[in-house]
Formats: sequence, C-alpha cells, structure tokens
Amino acid sequence: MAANTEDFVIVGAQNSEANEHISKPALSFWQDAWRRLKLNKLAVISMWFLIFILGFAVVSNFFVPQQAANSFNSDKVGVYKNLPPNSGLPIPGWNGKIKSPGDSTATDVYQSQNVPSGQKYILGTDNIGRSLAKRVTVGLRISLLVAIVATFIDLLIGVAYGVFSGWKGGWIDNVMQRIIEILSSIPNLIIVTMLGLLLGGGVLSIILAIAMTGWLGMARQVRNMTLTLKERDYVLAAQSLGESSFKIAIKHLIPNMAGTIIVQIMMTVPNAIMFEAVLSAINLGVRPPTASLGSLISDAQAMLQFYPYQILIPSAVLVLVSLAFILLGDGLRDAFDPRASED
Amino acid sequence: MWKYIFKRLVLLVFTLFLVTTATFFLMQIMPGTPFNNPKLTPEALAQLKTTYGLDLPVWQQYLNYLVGAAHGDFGTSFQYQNQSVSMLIGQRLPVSAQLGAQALVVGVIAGLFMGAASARNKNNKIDGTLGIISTLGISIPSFILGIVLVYLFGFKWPLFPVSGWGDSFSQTILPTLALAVSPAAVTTRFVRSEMIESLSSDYVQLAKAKGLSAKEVVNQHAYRNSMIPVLTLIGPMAAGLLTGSTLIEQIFSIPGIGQQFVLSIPSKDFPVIMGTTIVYSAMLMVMILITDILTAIVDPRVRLQ
Repeated sequence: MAANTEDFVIVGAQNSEANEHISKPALSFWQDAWRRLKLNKLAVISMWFLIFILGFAVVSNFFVPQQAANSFNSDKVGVYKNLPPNSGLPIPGWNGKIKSPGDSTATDVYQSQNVPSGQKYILGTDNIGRSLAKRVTVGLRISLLVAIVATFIDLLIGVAYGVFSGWKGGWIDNVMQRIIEILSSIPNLIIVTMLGLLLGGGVLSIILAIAMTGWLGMARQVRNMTLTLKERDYVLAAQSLGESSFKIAIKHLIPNMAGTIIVQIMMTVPNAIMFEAVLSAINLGVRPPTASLGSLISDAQAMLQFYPYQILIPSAVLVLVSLAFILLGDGLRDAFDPRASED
Repeated sequence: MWKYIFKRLVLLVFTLFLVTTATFFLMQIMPGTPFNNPKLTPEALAQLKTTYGLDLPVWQQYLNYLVGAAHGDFGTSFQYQNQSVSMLIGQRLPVSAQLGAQALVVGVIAGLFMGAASARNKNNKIDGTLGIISTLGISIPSFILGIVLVYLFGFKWPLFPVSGWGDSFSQTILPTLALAVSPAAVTTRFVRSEMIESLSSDYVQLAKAKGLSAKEVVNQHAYRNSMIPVLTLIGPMAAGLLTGSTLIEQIFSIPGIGQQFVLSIPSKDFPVIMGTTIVYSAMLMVMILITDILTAIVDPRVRLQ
C-alpha cells in the first residue's frame, strides 16, 4: 500500500529552518537528575513520605512534648494499661478488642478495665498506661534525630578524610587506607557497643557511637572519587592558576561528587536507625523514660505474646522509614548515574 | 599468592593486637566495677582483686593479658565463678557458627535463584515482585523479622518452637530464616545486576550465535560467570550476620556467644566482653581473608597485590 503523504501531519516546529535547529533546553546536572528521578514512582513516593515524616517529627515538638509522652497517672495504671488500638470504627483488630492467647473471642478491654466511655487510644497504650501514639511520635523523633545527626557527623569526617587521603596520595594515602582497612575489619557491633559502654547511655553517646562506625564507607567512596576527579583538566587548570588545595576541594572536587555523597547518605541513615535499635536491645540505648523506636521495640518484647501491637507498631514505623530511605537512595543513584539504570 | 596470604596474615595478627590493646584499655577506663556489692568488706574486695590479678600495675595486667590471649586464654569470668572465658566461648562458639553458617547457606542459595529469575525476566512482573521483596528484605533488620516470626509462627499459628537450641532441628528454622533474609536480599540484587551484565556480554552473544538454546546459554555461560562475584559479598554479609545473630540469639534464647556478649554487658563482666570482642573480630577478619583468597582462586582476572 502506497503511503499517503496527506495523512502525515508535521508536528512541532512548522518551518524548515526551525526543524534544522538542533537543540533542546540545556539542563544542569541537578535538573537532569530531577527529571530522571521523577520517572521513578517508588522513589518519588518515598521522597514525599520522608518529607512528611521529617515535617511531622519537627512539628510534633509543639503538640506532643516529651513530657506528655513520658508522664502517666500512677493511680490509674490498672485502668489505662495495655489498651489495644481503638480507632472508634468497627474494624477488626482496631476496635479496642483483643483476643488473649487461648481465648476464642476477643474481649473489649476498654469495657473490662472501666475506661471512661469516649476515651480512645488510636494506637493503644503501653504497660503503664501511656498512649502508644505519643510514645511512637516521640520515639520516631529521637530515632530520626540520632540517625540524622550521626549521618551528618559521618558526612563531615568521611568527606574530609576521603578527600585528604585521595588528594595527597602516596604514603599518606597508603597509611590512611590501611587505617580504614583495620577499622572496617572490626565488627561494627563491637565498636558501637564499646563506645556505648564507655560513654554511658543517653542520646549524645548513642550518636557518637553510631557516627564512629558509619564514616568508613563514606571515606572510601569519597577517596575513590577524588582519585578520579583530581586527574581532570579543570583541576589542573585551577592548580596552574595557583588555587589552594583547600579551595580546589571545596569548589571542584566536592561539588562534582555530590551525587555519590547524597546516595551514600541515604544508605547511612537506615543503618544508623537500625544501630540505634540494636543499642536499645542490648541495654545501651536511650535512658527511660525517654523513648526511641528501638527502646519501644525492646521494652515491649517480653509482652509479645499478649500485646503484639505494642511491638509491631514501632517496628512497622522503623521499617517504613528505613524502606523509604533505601528506595529514595536507589532512585537517586539511578538518577545521578543514568548509565547504571539502563539495564 | 603465598606472599599475599602471608602479608594479609601479618596484617590480621597486627589488627587483632590493636583490637586487644584497645579493648583492654577501654575496659580500664570503663566506669563502674563488677564488684560493687556494698556487702563486700574491704578485705574481701582486696581478696577478689588479688584473685583476678587486678591489684597488679596496669602495664603488668596488660602484658599478662596479651600473653594469655596469644595462648587462647582470656582470663576468668567475673560473673560465673571459676569459669574461664575461653571455656565459655568454646562451648558457645559452635552454636553461633552453626546458626551463622545455616543462615548464610540458605540466604545465598535463595538469593542465587531469585537473582537469576529476576534477571531472566528483566523488567516484567516477576522481576518487579522480586525487586520489591529484596528491597524489603534489606530494610527490615533481622531482629525485627525475628520478632515478627516469633509472633506469627510461635504464637499465632504455633508451628515451630521459638526458643532453645540443640534439642531438635525445628528449633533452628525460625532463627535461621530471620538471619537468612538479609543475605538473600543482598545476593538477589547483586546476582541480578551481574547476570544482566553477563547476558549482554560478548561470550553470551557468541554462545547464542553458535546456536545454543536460551536455557543452555543461561545455565552454562551466563549463570556460572555471575556466581563468582557473589563470593566477594560473603565478607560483608558475615559482618551483618555477626550483628544480627547477637540479637537473634537473645530473642530465641540460643546459647551462642552473641547471647553471652549481651548478657555480660549489664553485669560488667569485662573478661567475657573482651574475649568475645577478640573472637568476633578474629572471625570477621578470617572470613574476609578467605573471601579474598577464594575470589582470586576462582577468578583469575582478580589480581592480588
């Protein structure tokens, strides 16, 4: 069948001169990465989820202060303790009823413990009657604080160490790499525990303990990038113009490895969240009555058989936040390095 | 090759020496003492200190400890009277080793299958599902998974025992599963990308051109070459298993060294903490070394310097 040229319509530029014009708007590295990131639905959802969670953690300071989550009415522990989640709606498992092991029907705990009618705990209460919703809010805040500050310290140490090692090269690089090798052959758990023991409990010591293990990966990545980037012509140009090494690092090396660094950050945060929980599980976590996701999980462990929601809710929050960081990290890695995502 | 192994062994011993020294002096400055029972009279306290050699000057304690550690003697436990630390660890090490090995084998084998399935069904539903599963597997810490497994298969549908070790094989199923998920997920992601790369490589093109069926190409050419790099993952995975198994042993009441380590922290049983620290570090370093050597043996493209 002969093609009928009448059926074709020229779209886009209408005159031939415009058609010859070979160009599209120039995109900067960040615009290009953003364009690619937007194509990855999971990463975008994760990003909005994390923005929401971070915003929630900050804003919650105003309506759920630490004090409100820690305090409890010691006279009425018997009334308010271990109440199951109650949404007020007849949703099975979320209506204030819970099935004790061995029973065949669920009992309405709110009724049997004589909780004043109309009072509902959307995520239930813990073993001394504190609202789990408030505890989890505060716990999430502490866990995120620990993870983000620790990651920030990792970033500072790792980038400085990596750039210095890679830039200097020679025996300095050699010695610095051996140090990393030695440190990374000691299990992280050991380092975190030792520092935790040494510094005693408390948020600050947890942050330091976690930060001391996380920078190794960052330093290694940054050093490898530095080795590649320092051979570039623009670095040579800056050097021959007499720019100082420090300024070259700040102006040329670090901006050019920003993608790698951001991806590494996304992978460090979930690790830090996990190690905070590990520290809580081995009694080196935050001091009660302060709550973190990890301490909520390990405190509720003994009652798993009877009040599973007390442990499953903080666990789910921890997993969701970690998952979002990892998904966004995966998406960003593909967006920054399009060649890696072509397969 | 031998020269390389020798060099690595020297570095390993040196690192162990550093770890031993660091832990020893950390324990010296650690706040608190295991003998804080107010009922102890000063005489009894002095007696205890002499028994454990704590009355000696620090440098002498250090030298004694180093010499002892070199002979596999890590002193005597503070909390269990007359129990030597090496004996405590010796009894518990096989348990932890078995748990770790089981998890590693199950995880890697599952990961190999899932990764290969994922790569062969690139960008379709199977690949997508496996991708979601493996990402989930990476983001769930093993102890949370352990807790969920205890709840589901111990309490909700009581299918498996949830505590103890050594009485029956079924006791090992849940802890192994909890620990195996993360290695499985890591392996899946890794094998997938390796396999996709080798499926587009020249020798696979050649095999196709020779007229081999798709199945033969995958099984005989692509799969074998994608399996080698998985070896390099075993070192990092072992590190993850060490952390994971500590908490898993606690959750499932498994008498391994991880449980011992956790128990000795609140009781400030310093000799046990030091002993487990050194054994843990040695285990990890040996795993990394074995991984590196194996990689060099099976893949001649890797040059050891």
